[in-house]
Amino acid sequence: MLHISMNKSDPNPSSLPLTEATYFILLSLSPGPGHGYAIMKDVHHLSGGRVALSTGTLYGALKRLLAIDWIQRVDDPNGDETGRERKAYRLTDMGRAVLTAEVQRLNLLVEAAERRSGLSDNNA
Amino acid sequence: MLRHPRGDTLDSEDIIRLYTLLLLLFPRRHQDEFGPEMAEVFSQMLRDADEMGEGVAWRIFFREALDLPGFALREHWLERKRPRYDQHSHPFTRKMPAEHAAAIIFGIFILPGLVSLAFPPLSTVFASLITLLLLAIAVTIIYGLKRGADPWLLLLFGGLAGVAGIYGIDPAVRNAAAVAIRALRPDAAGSLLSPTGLIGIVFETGLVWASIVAAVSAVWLTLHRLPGFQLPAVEARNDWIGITFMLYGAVPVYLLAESTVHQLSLPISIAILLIIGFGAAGYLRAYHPFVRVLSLLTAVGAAFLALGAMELLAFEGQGWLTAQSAPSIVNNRALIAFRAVVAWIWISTVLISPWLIRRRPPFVANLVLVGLWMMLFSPIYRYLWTISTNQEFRLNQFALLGVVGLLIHQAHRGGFSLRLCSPPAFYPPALMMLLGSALLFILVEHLLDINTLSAALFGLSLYGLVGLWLRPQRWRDGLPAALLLIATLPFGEHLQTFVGYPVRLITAGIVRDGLAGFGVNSVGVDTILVFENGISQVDLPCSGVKSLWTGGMFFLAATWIERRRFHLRWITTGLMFVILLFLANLLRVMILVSVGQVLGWVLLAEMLHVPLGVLGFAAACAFLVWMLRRFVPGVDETTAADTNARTEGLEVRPRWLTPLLFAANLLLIILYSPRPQPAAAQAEAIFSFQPELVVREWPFTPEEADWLSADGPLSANRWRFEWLENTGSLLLITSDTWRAHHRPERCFEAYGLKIEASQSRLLSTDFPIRQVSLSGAKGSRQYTAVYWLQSPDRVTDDYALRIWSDIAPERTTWVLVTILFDRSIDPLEPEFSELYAGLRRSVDRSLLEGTQ
Repeated sequence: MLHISMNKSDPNPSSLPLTEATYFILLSLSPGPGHGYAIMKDVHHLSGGRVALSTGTLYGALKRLLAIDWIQRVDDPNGDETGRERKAYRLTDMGRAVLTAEVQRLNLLVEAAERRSGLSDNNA
Repeated sequence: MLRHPRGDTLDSEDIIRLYTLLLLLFPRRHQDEFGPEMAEVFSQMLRDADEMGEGVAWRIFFREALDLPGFALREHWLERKRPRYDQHSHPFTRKMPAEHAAAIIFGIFILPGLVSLAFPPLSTVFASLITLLLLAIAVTIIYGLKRGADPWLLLLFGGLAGVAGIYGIDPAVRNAAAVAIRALRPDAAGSLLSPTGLIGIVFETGLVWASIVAAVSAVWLTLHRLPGFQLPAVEARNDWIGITFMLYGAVPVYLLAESTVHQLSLPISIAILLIIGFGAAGYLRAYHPFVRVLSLLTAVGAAFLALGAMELLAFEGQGWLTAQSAPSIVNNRALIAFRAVVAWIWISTVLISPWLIRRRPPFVANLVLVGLWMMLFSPIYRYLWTISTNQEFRLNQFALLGVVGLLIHQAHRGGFSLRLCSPPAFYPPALMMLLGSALLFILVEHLLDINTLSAALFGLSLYGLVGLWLRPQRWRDGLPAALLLIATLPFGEHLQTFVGYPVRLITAGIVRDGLAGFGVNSVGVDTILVFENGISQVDLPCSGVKSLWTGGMFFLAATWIERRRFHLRWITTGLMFVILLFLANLLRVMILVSVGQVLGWVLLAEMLHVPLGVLGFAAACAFLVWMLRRFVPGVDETTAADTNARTEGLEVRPRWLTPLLFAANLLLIILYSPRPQPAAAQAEAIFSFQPELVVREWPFTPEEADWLSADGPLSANRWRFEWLENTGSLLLITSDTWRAHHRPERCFEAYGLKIEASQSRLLSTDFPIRQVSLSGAKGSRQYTAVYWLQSPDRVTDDYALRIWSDIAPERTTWVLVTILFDRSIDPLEPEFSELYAGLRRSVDRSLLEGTQ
């Protein structure tokens, strides 16, 4: 029993770092629920056009995130353009904690780089 | 509108269809969960890309087309480690109401069987028309289910479908096969190519297969056209491999069903069943369609191989349908109807089996287990049928009805739900009862061949089997009822025979010693036995041994009604009750012998006989009830409920138990071997009678000969005789098995004679005979019969002794001598003594010659 996390929203350190696709999908869902195509477009936008998810990549990642309970499926209240019911995805507490931890981890990395020889200044 | 790179225009819908086809590469689980969403996202991507230009859209499509197979492969790899996919959206997961299910089952399976018993098969044309009708009815049934039709309507449609199945597909295919083969090879009659030869069978089977393909396709197409059946149609299309399984599975099972009825030996049947089972298991466990189809093909091929091997080895030179078409079978309407019904049930079962196996694996495993268990006990069914229908066992049938009524009442009140959808529970008492009784059954069948004992073990094993799916507490509560049910078997006569004989010897010995203690030394055991037996017209309460049976039933019923627990005190009480019954009988015999034999008041002894028996029995039963209430703890409802609640979640249902039970049943089936029957082909016994006895052969009628030869006597002869002024008939039956020696009283009753009295008489100390006083219809004429059983060593009138002699390892040949005089006589009159002595000598000589 000692190995069981006491808090369900505590991220497992071993799950970090995240892959780029996973990171951007979680980031895309951080403001609120989104459906498949919205996520795909948002990821493209957030990554500055660098990450273009295919449907295979997107749904492979969503499937795994659902399985490890970082996201959950909800009804999209808006439906699609034709008004048909459609599914959306949103972050769970665990998913949000993982994303926060990953952002903190990345911040630490960036801060470390900044402390060393003004790397960020040179880049700037 | 998109433009194809070659210049043709291509609708975006077409590209989406191509994409949808690519999605089929994914595992079914992934397709069901994400397929529609992925297609939706892809179509949105295409719409946006269309605005950006044609090239972008094509680039997206090609990127997806290159990307998806890799992801699909990965998903398949991951799918490998997941539990079997369960399609929750299957249309048949909706629970069918019980009355609907009952109506359909009765309609499809039972009604057609009854109809086929009454009406002959139809011609090809009619059969084909009815086949078409079957399709229409099948659609109507599904439509009715979908719309919630009334049960009676489903019963009607189900019945029509079943009748059409039997009268339509079966004869249509057979007739068409025969016509086609004759057209192809007119010279093939009588050869392996004939409709009854091996190739004919394969051809016929192919046609059966084709007809099922046609039927399923027609139903499928019809469903596809009906807007209300979109969901089943989609499911059917998605599960096309399941349909393939149905078709492939139906063929060997059809063959199996056809041949099992007549020709296949048990091992071959089991082998084919296993082959089909492996094929089905391979299909269900495999994920890849190719592996699935391969496993089916392998299994079907192996089934055909087994059948072919059987054809060559077991029935060399002739097709097995040739033997099946023998006149004796063809003319047997019941057999033909049975064959058709069995084939129909098998095919129907196979058609639903993929769904059943997939939806309810434990249920199917349980059904197979029950099937194996039933196969193990199959030798006893004929006897069970006999005792449930023969007038001879009417008392037992009434008792059975009563107990069944009580059982239904109790089950209704207390709940008796079998959890057949769960794997068997590891409940040691039930398991031990199941396997222990099965093992004893095998031993009893091989060593003793006593049907009642086998039937009792069947009952015990059945209750053990039930215990695998019943709550332990409920199983324990129902045990007295189950034992009571088993006790309604006709144990009386067998108890009298197998227990009664030694008990009577012990009783007689104790009475002799008791009387000797009072200084009466002249009464021997044989005298006591004859005396006790002689005045005893055996009925339930007044026979010491039969009272054990009645008392046993009373004990079980009292335990059940009083809701007493099985406990050490319960066993002690039972033992005390048996001792009480024994003592009551002992006291009765002692009083009777003292009054009748010692004091010489025979009439008083006869008067006391029945009242003493009843009094003793009633007193013992009253004492039993008092002891049960006083000493044996009852079932506390609250405690029982608590125990139920506590044990509910603790029941162990190990995965290894089902395979273990399969293996145990199969092993017992293989080990089963009936008691070797003596060879019937021995020289007929020849009797030479004294010159004063004038005899004339009186041959048996065919019915009499059939009945007499059923149990394998070595010989049976009948004469009319004249002895001095007397006439009558003489029957001598020689046999080395007790089964062939029926009690003469039963024969007399079968001929319409009424038994007025039956008593032992002593011609000399070593020559007891049984005198039976008989009367004709309405008492018009009186007859006297005399019989005895004679072996090379001794003469007896005791049927029990005759049976006990068969338990010995070495068989002894006995002759049952029955003399029926045409009038009422006193068999101890001197004029008959030489008749008996001469007959005894003749039989002795015959037995002596037989042993040389």
